[in-house]
Amino acid sequence: MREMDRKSTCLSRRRLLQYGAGAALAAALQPGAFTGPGPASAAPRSGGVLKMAWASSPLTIDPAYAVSGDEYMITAAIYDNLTRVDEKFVVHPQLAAKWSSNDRGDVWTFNLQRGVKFHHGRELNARDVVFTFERILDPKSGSPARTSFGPVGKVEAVDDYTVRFHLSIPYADLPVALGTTYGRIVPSDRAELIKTAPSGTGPFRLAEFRPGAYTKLVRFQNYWEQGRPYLDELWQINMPAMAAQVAALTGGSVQAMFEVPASFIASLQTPSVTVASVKSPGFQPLTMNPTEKPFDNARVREALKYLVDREALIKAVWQGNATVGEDHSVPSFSPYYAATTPSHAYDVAKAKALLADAGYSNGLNLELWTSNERVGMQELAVAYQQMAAPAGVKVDVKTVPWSVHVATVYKKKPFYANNWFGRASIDETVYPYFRTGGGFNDGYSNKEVDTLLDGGRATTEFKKRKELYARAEQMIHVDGPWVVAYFTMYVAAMRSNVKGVAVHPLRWWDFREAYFEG
Amino acid sequence: MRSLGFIARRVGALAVVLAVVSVLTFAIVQLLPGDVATEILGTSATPEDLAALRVKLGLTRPTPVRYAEWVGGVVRGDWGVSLLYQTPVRPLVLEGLGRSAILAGVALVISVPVSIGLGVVGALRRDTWLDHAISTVTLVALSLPEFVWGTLLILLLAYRFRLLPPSSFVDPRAPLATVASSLVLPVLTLLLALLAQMTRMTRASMIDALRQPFTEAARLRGLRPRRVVVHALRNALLPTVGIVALNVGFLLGGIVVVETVFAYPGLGRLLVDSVNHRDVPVLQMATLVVASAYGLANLGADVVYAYLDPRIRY
Repeated sequence: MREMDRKSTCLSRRRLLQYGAGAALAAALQPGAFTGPGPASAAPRSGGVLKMAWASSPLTIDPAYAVSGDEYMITAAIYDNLTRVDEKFVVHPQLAAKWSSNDRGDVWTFNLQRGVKFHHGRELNARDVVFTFERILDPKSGSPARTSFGPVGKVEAVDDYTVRFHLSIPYADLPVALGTTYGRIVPSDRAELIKTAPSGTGPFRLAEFRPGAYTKLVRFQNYWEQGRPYLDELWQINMPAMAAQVAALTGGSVQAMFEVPASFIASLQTPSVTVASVKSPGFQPLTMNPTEKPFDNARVREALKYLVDREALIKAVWQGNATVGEDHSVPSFSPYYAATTPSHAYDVAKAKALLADAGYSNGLNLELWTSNERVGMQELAVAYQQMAAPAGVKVDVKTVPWSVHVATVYKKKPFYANNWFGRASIDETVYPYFRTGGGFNDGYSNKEVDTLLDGGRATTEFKKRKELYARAEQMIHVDGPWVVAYFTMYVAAMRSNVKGVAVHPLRWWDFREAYFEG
Repeated sequence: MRSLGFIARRVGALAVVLAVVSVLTFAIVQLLPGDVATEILGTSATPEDLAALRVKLGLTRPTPVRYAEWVGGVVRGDWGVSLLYQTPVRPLVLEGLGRSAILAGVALVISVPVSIGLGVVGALRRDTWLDHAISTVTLVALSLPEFVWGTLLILLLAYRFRLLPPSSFVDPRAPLATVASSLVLPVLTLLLALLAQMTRMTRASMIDALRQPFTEAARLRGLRPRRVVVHALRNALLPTVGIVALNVGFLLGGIVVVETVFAYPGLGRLLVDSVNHRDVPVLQMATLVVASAYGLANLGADVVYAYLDPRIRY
């Protein structure tokens, strides 16, 4: 048995980070955290009400169905996971005090903390964990979480405080996957109340859920982590107008703002407000379906990758707040990133030659679908139209609202722009998009890539693993079905006296350590 | 009484209209791309998950069957359950209606007397600087859409001068003064459009009425000028009453924009959200409430017409 307790997990992860993540994150425009005065200073003060403004409103508070940031914030407050994935993608213990796997990596055992109470008073035990995952894995649930824990076959309670996961194949990223938003542990005895009157083991209890207006959470007095949380109340407030959010934050009627569009950063430059940004693994690909003409020809796909001026696009669309992408889904700050060749710098002549090679010497006429309801997507499509024209590629941009995009464009049109926020584990960052039959794959199929990704899933040793992903990135870079011009940055803002909160690259918000200074 | 018979007939017609509206709304949502399952699961959906969720939410049965079930429920007084939130529809819609009614009521109570007053002053002082000033201001107010006014007011009064809260969100248990101050900006935005429309309408019909032979006759009979104005006003108000009636409907359903800009959780927001998320049970009842309000307001206008104009008898 290979022990993976708290210390060794952190250490091994920290070692991984030396490969790039830490340094890259530190080099972000502004510190990506609203941190406290440090361990030497006085203990954080308890009390206070923190209200956070969001442009969107949650549709559900059931963690098995929550798919957007506003929903994640609420489920993160109400529930705990077995593990916690921090803003540097390091895995920490949460409800699981420690865990271990067999040598193959297909049987994982988690030991639960003792004395953890749910909001309704009962103590957490292994049956709650089993219930949580059986509920999600039930094919009748229709939960999008069903496929997100890798190859989990069976979950069993060994005793009251021990849970065992039996996997169909080895899966190294299980502890990361369990720390993501779907893995919140729900109580086994209140299934019918999860959507309306939830009870979790998390730091805050749900007081009011009013979609379209606000969600109010209050401190859970019996939270298992001594002294946490510090805040008395945590509110999520729906404010669709950005101008209203900016006015509310600078005026002090809210203390935090979920997302600051680049054009609003300047209006928040006051001493009472801190604006922080992190590089995120989120990206907006131009997606080509390789089962349809002309994208079935690898040279056409490659040609289209030469028709985007990445630096110019980042300046024009994101005011510089983005990093260059290399036509795959692994951002440059990931420990699993490896440089790819050749560079897909803007090159009309090369694109023309590739198109001629593919039998399209007279150019191409393409319909590019996009949405006007996600920042950057429409600008990306229109810019691409301009950049591709000199190579004889005529792009007709079709714009639809996001709900129509999800229903009729995504995975249905042969060529479209899309919006992904990125994932915590390397397996989830690559596998669902590029593995044959992957959940978010439009039809790309490359045997070599499949072998590499299957290998990466099952390999636990970092160096070997990185080697596999590096080769996959290189193959996808040239042959893959996406133009990925950039990875976005995530910018948020808070009142300057809010401390103890980190800006997470995945837009996850965790307020258990948040407090007001002074 | 004949007028009672008239009202009964109109209420009957309204019921038919509501039935047609409910069929149309139901049908149109079926035609929109996507359903509540694609909304809930978003881009992370797999075809199997979508299929399973549709079964769970009862979306796989034929549309006529689902419509018939919905009608059956409503007839028994059961408004159904929101597909999205899994909570009863009735409190959602009634709370939204209550909040919108507060906003609309305040806006109407202020705008009706003020706009009639301004319209009459404009007509009586026709072509003076005062008339020109009223005309110019109302024209400017009308020329910009509500979302521009709303944003401008936020930037000016909330961001720059910090006089008022930027959003109408308040803790329901907050003191009355806080609640009232949060209503100022949305009401002001609504007033701009309402006042302008009604003032211009009153002014035009008042000028017309002042030109009519009956006004001339009243003046020649030696009535005091104030009596003459009241005389003319009663006739001039007819078109304004029509506008007020239309505005009740506009206020209840169409304040969508204002409710969105100021994050005001009323019926308009509920309508937009339920269309966006294809939450049919909520959308059906919210639409019916707005349609009823429209119908009743117009009925009210007809009754007031009859009172103002003795020639009109139903």
